[in-house]
Amino acid sequence: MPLSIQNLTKTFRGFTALDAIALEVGEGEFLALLGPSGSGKTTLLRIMAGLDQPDAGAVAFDGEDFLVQTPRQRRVGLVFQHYALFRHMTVADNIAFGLKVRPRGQRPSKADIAARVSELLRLVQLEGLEKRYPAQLSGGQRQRVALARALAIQPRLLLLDEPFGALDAKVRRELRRWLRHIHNETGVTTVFVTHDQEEALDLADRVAILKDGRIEQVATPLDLYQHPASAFVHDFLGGAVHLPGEVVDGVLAVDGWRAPAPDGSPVGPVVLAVRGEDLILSDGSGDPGSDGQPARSPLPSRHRDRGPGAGSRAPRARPHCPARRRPDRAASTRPHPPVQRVKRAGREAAP
Amino acid sequence: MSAVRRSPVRGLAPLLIGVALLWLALVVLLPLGMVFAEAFRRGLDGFLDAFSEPDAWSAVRLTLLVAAISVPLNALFGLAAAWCITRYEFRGKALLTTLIDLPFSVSPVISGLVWVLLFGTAGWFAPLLDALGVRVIFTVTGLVLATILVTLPFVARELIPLMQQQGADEELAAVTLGAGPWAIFSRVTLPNVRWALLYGVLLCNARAMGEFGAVSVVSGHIRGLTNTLPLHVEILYNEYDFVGAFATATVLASLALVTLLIKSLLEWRFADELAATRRH
Repeated sequence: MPLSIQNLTKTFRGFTALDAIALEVGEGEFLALLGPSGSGKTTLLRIMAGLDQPDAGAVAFDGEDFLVQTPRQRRVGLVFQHYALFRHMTVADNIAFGLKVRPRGQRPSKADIAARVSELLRLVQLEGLEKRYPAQLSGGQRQRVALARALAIQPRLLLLDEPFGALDAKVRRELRRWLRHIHNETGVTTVFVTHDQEEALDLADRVAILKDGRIEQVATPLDLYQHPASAFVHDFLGGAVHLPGEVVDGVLAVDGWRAPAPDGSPVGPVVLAVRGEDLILSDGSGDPGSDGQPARSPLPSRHRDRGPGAGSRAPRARPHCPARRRPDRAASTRPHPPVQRVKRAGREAAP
Repeated sequence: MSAVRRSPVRGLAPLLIGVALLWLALVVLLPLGMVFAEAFRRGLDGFLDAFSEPDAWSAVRLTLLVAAISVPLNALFGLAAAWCITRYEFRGKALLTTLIDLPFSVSPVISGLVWVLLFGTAGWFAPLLDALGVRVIFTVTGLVLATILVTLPFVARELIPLMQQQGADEELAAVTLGAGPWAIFSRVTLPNVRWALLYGVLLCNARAMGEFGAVSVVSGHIRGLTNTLPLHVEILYNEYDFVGAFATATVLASLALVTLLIKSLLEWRFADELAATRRH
């Protein structure tokens, strides 16, 4: 694993922002750090970028100790929520900044810098806007410039701090797809901070859920959704109702309704956490009928494999340990949005 | 009239504009006009007479010298103070911010007097200065110290609100892109505040050249040696040389007008860039 974080701890004036965090990120992986605000996501990101030092723990990349390296030596690209573009520089100068400030000797020639800038402008689909100032761009365009600027230094690790947090829902969704597309093209190892579960599940190869400075669970979106390690994770991913029940002799009883308890269920009083999409309504004859429709799932479609009736025929009880179903790995072969679509998004986002 | 009225009261705007213009004419334009009118009361020859004596020229030179020393120093200090206050958290930050404002609220006479109390013949450091053979009061050094104290807040006060509003994100972005401290300062911080810095420097300069009270206390009014332009004006006036006093005063007034002109020209020349960077 190129990025390895061990036992990372950080406190601010008695407040524990990070509590013994351990995390591994694989080569070329797209990992989302998901958690409510105050869970330590941004602190973790800042430590990786070299903007903060932890109180204890280790961060290593490709075997190198990150914590003793300067940000320049780390070669980490960071994209801020509010873009942090250099307001007095044009788009082209913004993108070229990381190359221009390299010490003489490591600095590419002017022609090379210009070539790299136009290559990146093409990648983020902002050709023709290189002479504009950040204030003359829409939010979505600014964030794409910020990404191009971060990619210009050919980072070994790309960090994104709620990059779409300041954008409206439509632009967000378009940019999200586009970001995944860029990731697939560049293959750079990426860590993405968000508090939006839909965004994390849609984008990431794996999602790490943070709560109060601790990692609750790290798993693929589908695993996370189907096998949450804790009530918090299940609840945080959304769409669940919690019902009090009891398990006696392998039978789950909830409000007068009885069903076989899943394997490994705890015995005694339990909380049944169910998502609407796992319930199928029937007419009471015991046959759910062929037109029983599961409710709409918040899990992005790339992780869903079931059409109507494809799931089990009865409501499945899942006290945090649902029966395992084979995950659909359509995720890895999911087609990316065509380029035209992103372009349209860019134009629509313009003022 | 524009389609959108911002005030609920009809016809109030012309009235308010009229009152403001009248007041401005009364307290700014009229006195300024008087200065020029009085200076030329005995024609161009009378006006030029005021500059025939060497003391007048030495006053001009001294004023420029004092400003040339104190303005850059206070520009540097203002930048450092604003950087420190807006980019770091530390104990006593509120106190430092208040201290920077202090020269604004203290009478300039006091700002001059403190140097006499410190470095005068009966001052705290008098024995030390005597032993070293250095004199501060009644010398150019004293004038510079008094001017620095009085003009200390101008640059810092311009920069602090702007740098607070802009935040440190751009500098942090520069750090992650591999920029060193100097590159961050010269390519990110300084360009972002250059207009506020320039404005602060112009204000600081205007005050440095025009300061009377503090400078008067430490100067000793030695003609040709420690008389700045404002002090020279007072001396001439006290000697009933009204034309000479007003003629010299036109130099000061012109310096102020030129300052204003430069500022307006720069704002006009870089209007696009200003608009672009402010809207961000």
